[in-house]
Amino acid sequence: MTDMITMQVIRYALEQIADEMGYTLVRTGRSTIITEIKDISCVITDAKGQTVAQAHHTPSLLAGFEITMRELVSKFSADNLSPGDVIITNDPYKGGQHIMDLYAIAPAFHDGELIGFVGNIAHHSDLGGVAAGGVAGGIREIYLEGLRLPMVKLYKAGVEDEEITGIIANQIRVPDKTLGDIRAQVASLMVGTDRLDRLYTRHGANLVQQACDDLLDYSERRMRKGLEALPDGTYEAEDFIDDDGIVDELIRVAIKVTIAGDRVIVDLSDSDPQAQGNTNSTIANTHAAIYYTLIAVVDPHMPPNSGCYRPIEVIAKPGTIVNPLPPGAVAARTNCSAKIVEAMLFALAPLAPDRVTAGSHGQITTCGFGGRDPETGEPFIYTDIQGGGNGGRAHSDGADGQDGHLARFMNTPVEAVEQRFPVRIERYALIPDSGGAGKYRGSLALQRDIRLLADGVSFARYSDRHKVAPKGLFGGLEGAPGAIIRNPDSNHEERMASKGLDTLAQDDLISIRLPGAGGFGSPGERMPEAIAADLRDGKVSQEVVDRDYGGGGTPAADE
Amino acid sequence: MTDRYLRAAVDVGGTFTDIALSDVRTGRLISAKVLTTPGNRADGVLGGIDVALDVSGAKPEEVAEIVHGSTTGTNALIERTGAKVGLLTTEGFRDVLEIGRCMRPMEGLYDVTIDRPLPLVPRYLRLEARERLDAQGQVVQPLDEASVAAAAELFALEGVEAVAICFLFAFRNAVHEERAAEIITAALPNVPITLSHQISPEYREYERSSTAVMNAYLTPIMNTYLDDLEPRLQARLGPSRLSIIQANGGSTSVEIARAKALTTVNSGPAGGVVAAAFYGRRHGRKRIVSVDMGGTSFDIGLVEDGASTVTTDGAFQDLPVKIPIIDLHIIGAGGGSIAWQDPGGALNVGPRSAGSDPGPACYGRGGNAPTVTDANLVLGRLNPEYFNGGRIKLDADAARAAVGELAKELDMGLEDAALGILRVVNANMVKGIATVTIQRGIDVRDFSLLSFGGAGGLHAVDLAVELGMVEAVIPPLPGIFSAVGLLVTETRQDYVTALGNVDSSSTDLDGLETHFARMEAEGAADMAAQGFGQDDIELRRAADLKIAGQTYELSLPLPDQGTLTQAGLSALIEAFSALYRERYAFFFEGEPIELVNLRVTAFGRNATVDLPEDESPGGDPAGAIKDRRPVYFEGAGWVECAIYDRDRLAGGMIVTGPAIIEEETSATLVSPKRSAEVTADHGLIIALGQEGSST
Repeated sequence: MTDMITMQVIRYALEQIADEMGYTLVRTGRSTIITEIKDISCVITDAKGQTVAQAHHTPSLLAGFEITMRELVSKFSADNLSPGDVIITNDPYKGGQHIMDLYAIAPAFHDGELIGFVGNIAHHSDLGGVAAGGVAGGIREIYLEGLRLPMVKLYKAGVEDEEITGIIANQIRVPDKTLGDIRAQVASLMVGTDRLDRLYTRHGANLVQQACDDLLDYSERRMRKGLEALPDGTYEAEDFIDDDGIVDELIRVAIKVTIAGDRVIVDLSDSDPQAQGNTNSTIANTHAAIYYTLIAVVDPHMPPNSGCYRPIEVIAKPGTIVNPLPPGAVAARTNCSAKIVEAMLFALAPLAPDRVTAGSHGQITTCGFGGRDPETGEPFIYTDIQGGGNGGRAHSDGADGQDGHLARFMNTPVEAVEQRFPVRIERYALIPDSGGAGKYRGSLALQRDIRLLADGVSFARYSDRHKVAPKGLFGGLEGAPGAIIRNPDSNHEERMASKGLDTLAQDDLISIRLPGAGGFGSPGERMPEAIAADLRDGKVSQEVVDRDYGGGGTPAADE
Repeated sequence: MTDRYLRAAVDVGGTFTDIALSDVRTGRLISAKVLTTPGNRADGVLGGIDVALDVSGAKPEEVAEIVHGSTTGTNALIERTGAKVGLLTTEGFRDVLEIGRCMRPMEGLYDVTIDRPLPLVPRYLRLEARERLDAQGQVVQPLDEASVAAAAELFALEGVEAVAICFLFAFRNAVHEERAAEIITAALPNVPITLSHQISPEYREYERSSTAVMNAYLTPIMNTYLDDLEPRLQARLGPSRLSIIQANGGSTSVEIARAKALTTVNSGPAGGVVAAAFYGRRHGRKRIVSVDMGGTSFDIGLVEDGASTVTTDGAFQDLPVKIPIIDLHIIGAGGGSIAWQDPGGALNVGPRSAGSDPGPACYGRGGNAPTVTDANLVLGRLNPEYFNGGRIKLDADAARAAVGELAKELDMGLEDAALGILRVVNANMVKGIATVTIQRGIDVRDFSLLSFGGAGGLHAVDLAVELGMVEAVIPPLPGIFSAVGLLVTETRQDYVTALGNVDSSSTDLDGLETHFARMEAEGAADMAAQGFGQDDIELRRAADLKIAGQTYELSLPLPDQGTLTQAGLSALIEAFSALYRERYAFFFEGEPIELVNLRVTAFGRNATVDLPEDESPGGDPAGAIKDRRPVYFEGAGWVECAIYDRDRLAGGMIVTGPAIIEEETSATLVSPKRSAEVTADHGLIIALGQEGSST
């Protein structure tokens, strides 16, 4: 064992390399989904495929990475790998997320020995499938969701396999963008392998490897210590997905968390069978949601790596909404995994009220607009991902406008969107009265109104919480549900399904209204100053103050 | 002004106000340090100048110029004491400032209690005007003047002290922002207005709003400060020139500082990087990582090709700022950083700091948490009797008790725990340096580490070794080095024209030349207005380029600075490809390359500083040994070390380690097997081989 000081020194170096890989990917990527939204992740593993460090991007993409790596290590032995190899895959049934999330992984070598892997995941604008953007709801089979790549070597000893890129290019609408983004992933991996080799040269292979082992043990220790501090017992909660985009029925996600000493068992067996539509959560994604929530509740500052996961047992029955069987479709999986997070937070709330939130937006609204630019005649795909409201907390309101659990996305600037795509964004704003009342208010939802400046544009999307509103906690009230409305306030206003695929006409206005979030604690306990400030800011109307807070609130002092 | 031959730099920091006084006839440099006066910082500025004049024996009427690094803007941001600002936006977008880019802070990845900073303008002071431009700047919705007038009325009613206007695509067409400003000025004649297209004419509406709002937020407070300071300086010194340092590392006139208050934020640390570049140039070092390690923060800057590097992608207090500023990366690590053991048993240092009150355990002011300063004291690296020139007596027993407590928790010896604290804080600092260098494709292995600030000299060698750098350099006057930087700044103004994304292969050369020429004319006029003659004005062209379809541009100077020709453009594109390859280890061959922005920077050449040198042939440094004491090193344990008095070392001498070189405001550690060469201007250069760490 190295000492706890050397371990920290190596840990910082590894985290820095992972961040550097992320920086390279964002800077060299093409699609706004990578460059602006930053829907990516980067990771470093040891030779066994255990995650030792990750970049500070989207946790949801990463926590499941070790499942992917298990597949990879079993498929490629060390003698089948050489420097400059890059393996790609997006198979949701082999540790993947959904078709649009492409994994790229490169073996790292030092003095000719395999020392580990560097990997990244990027959400692509297009990898084929029934609709541009690959985010249509209401799809029944994985085959319709795009090109499903098994683990293949795209680069062999540094040389791109043009037969494979040829296959990919033939399946997609914007090959220049997608191939450019894949090459950006490769650039990021090359940076990672180079820096890792340097780190090994600097400190020696034995020391770095020992430090990695120690780091995994250390995180495991922190997770076990944190679990031990929580009272033993079984805690249950449930949440619901509005529908699967095909059958109009609620889908239940049921959680049973058993804390037993320094271990935890998360049993999802009572969840509903897998859906006909694509709201199924792949097993990697289900694990990601569970890992994320446990780290957040148990000890949010432990270094997240495979060691943290050792004390965690997940029971997810095959054929259920949380572990579907092929050929089930999965693109809208975050509608399910976000509910796993929500239900777990509610189950654990009595144990750790300071480290949970009331119900948050509990979904990720992903929209893909695809068509041809009327000016250039070129195909375009505009993918927009939107977070939503965050639940109130034990000591503060949900943060308005800030992304919440699992994801760490950024929005796309209006001025970036309109320079590239034939749309005009007419409103991007907080929605007053959408945060659930409470001692601490749930955050407000966001609204984005998009006007189409091209005709015949496909509008693929998945969203949720249009029916089941975000819940309040400890007496807090519900947040507002979301909606997608075509041409609001006109005589042809139409409320659209949360998951679907439609064709839009020029001048159509699509108003995306995300769900808000629930309040924390009884509204009666809210400070009058906070109510008054919300009133003055127009975040809460007088009507709602009268209804939910009994008219409370004194005029705010001037700042 | 023939009888005025003194130039004074005044760098106001959080704790101290540093003064460097330079005699342009002799090159003599006088330094002084007084306490900052937070109530009214101008008191400390005047008091400090008096002290420096006193020390030098000079008269007030001999001062030709004051170069001032102000912390007024920085503090207003930290303490949130800036103006009450009204923001006017395009209809439908008043919340952009609050929504920002949605992103959770990195520290909040799993911690649900951590939020990003709140916006500087609350929602009720963010109002909307009916207007809209498209991406080309064409008017889609004409400005509804009544909506602006209504907003102005509300701003007046609320008593806002400054206004910012940020309309979508205003960087393409300023007509609506300008007309709205006229309407608001008519209603609120004495309220300063910041227009987004003027302060930051670049795309991305949130970042541009944030920049405009921050400028508005700081303008009144900066004006109040200058309204007080300027006449008091005039009264004390007579007709001297007052220049204000900007975050871009250049100085500017008081008039421009009033209009662009934002540019004064972080100007002190920027001065440190400018000083590093200057000191490097004196010694033929063009590639430098400059680090300023004080009590609570560690400021990292970069010098490439002899000049401090500038970014347009920066932030102040985690709020984005889209103007050219010196690329500074600030992390929470310093002498006061507290060491602690986390629940998994690992040792962490910082970011919590003991500050100066109560301070490290060894200050004896009630602090009992072990800090980096305590670790240095336990290991014999600090002199308890000569900290800050003996003005603070350190309590070594208290340091040993605090570190000893931690050692018990870690189940290791006292010295090993103290070494552990240093190794962890060093690893943090190394990570911070890597973030701004290695992470951006900059190979630091042929860089020099230039380390200053009170704690810089004790950590310099370890950091440089860990990063594989060629040498560690401790400049003269490390305690007031940033102030020295203020004396060597050029007056600087930046201009930018946003082109959108123009394909570089099909562009209209004459059109580009027209943009450059217009900005150059503006720059030359602004410099002339500040009193610079033609010979002292320099104009430099730069451009931001990117690969078509990508989002992020790289900024680089035009290799051919003359009138733009096809060959000059080709050279620029070639330089871009080379830089791209260096940054990202990859290049997309054959892809179209686009021009995004054209830039001109105008410089006005000021007098500079000539550090005093001695021509001594070197000789034996033994005469400068003032003491010997045991110092602890990794591997070697306690070793008897010579303690040198830096003031008694002469140019050309070589100090062989293990040794400590002490001076009033700092100390330098020369580890075993290393040696420090004393330069003629009394800097210390410690050359490094490729061996392992020396902690």
